[in-house]
Amino acid sequence: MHAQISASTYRALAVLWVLLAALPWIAPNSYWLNMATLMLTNLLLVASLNLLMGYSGQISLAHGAFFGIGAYVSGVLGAKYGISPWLGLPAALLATGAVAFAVGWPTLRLRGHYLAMATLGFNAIASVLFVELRDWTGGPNGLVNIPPYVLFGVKLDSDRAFFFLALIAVGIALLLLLNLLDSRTGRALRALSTTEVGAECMGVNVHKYKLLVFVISAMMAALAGCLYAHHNAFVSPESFDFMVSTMLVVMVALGGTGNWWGAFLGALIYTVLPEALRSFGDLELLVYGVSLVVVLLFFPRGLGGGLDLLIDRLRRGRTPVPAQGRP
Amino acid sequence: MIDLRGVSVQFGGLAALSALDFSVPRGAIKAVIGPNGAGKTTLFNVISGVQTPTAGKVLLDGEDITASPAHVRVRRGLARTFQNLQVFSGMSVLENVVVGMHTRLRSGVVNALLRLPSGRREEAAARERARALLNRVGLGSKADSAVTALSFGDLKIVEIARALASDPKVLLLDEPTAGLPAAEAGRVAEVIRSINAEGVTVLLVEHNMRVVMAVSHDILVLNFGRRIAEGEPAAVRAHPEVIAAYLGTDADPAAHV
Repeated sequence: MHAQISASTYRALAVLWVLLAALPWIAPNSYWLNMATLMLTNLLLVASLNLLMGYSGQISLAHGAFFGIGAYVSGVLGAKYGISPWLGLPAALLATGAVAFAVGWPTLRLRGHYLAMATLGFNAIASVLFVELRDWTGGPNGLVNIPPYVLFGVKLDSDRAFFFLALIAVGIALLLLLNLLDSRTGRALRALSTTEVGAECMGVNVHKYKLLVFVISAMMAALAGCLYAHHNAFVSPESFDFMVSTMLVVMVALGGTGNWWGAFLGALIYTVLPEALRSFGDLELLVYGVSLVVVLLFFPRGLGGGLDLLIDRLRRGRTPVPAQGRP
Repeated sequence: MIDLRGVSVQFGGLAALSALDFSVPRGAIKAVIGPNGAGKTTLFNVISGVQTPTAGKVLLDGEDITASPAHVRVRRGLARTFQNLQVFSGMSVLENVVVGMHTRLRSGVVNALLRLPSGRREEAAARERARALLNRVGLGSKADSAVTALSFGDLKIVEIARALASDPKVLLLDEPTAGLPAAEAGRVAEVIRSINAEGVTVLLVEHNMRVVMAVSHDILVLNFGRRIAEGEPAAVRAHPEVIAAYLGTDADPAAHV
């Protein structure tokens, strides 16, 4: 069962954002602030993929590619053509949306493994293009000299300024995502994720809605790409390869597919674990794999699902007599 | 209201429906009966747009809808329930019914993303109406339960409420009383009659003969994808081929002597 979106979800998100806004004054050094910024962009990636996988029952192994298209479009426009990142942002969103539409139109008629294979194929094509369109992307060496966002003449390239930009941008995106889930459109998506025939016979244009959510999800990944590119001032193809797409799918599953707060856990792990495992060197992947298997073995609905269960149990423990006794 | 002209459905070498001509007059309650595998569910799938016929035409209100996808047919006034249930398991009972209103609600994706007041108002009104529909079919008290917590019989009734939510002109009910105890089946029969009294044309597939005889104006009997009888309940019951199909081919009393 999907975690229900309610007024309390909005409140919790607001509280979390207020707490995060205090981080620049609490964080002991800029390393922590940069980690928080990275986590915010990762959150956008995992949450947008969760919209597609968890709430709409589709799979995409091309989320890294959409992340990359967003990063490269805005990055190339800024670095090679001197176009403001503020204009690069809508350009990147529209370009990524258009590509997602073109990819989704034929592939979303496929299901399950076939959809996974088709999107994986697209990610491979995108990776090749990132390398081969050398004049624009800088090829395997990457794209350098990506300008930062500038607001009222002030460059947003300090760690603190960029953190706030990411906080606001990701906050707005998550708010839009919540709004979407709790609406006629979100309901249609959840309906088709359980039974396409059932949804179609209730008047839901299944293919149109799958395409819609695919495009929205890709555009959110593109937003993350823009933030990433203009923060780093540099992007290279391996940041958007199929391994990234695979890891994002893993993080959605690890956090809990279709679990709103699960995406936060997934993003947290995706950000922190590589740092923590750095000392393991080549063993990093192995530790990743083993921990994934262990988590999914004990929490089939992800860490978010496990947490829900725990909270549920604690609540019941506190009030042993269920609702009946209340006035 | 619904007309099928020479409809055939071929699954490989098997003819699920063979050149079937069939019509449901406006305002009628028509039942389709027949042994398992007679083509009843295939007939429903063809009418609702889930199955494309190999040959023939489907008309709704005189308009050819053979090429229309299922969701377009809902917009045009066709609603259905399913024999094996197609409920949305991640949702509450109420939400399931609100999904049934999909074609009657207007707010689109931009409205949703921005959470506009018009969309919120529409949403509140839709929930109100869904609650009223559930009250009408006697499931008002379970509106806020998870749909997965309900019995098979209750879910059959949820599907009726969900189908009604689309304001259909024609309602297709696939075995609406299967799995229900007799008293419940009687209540569903009442609901079917009252829906019909409001001007909705009803087509039902049903195995419970008591319900079929009680509610339908007209019965079609199918076997091996062909019509073997059609007419008023009393006439159909007396039809020799119907007796043969239901009791076996050697229903000839002499054979048992």
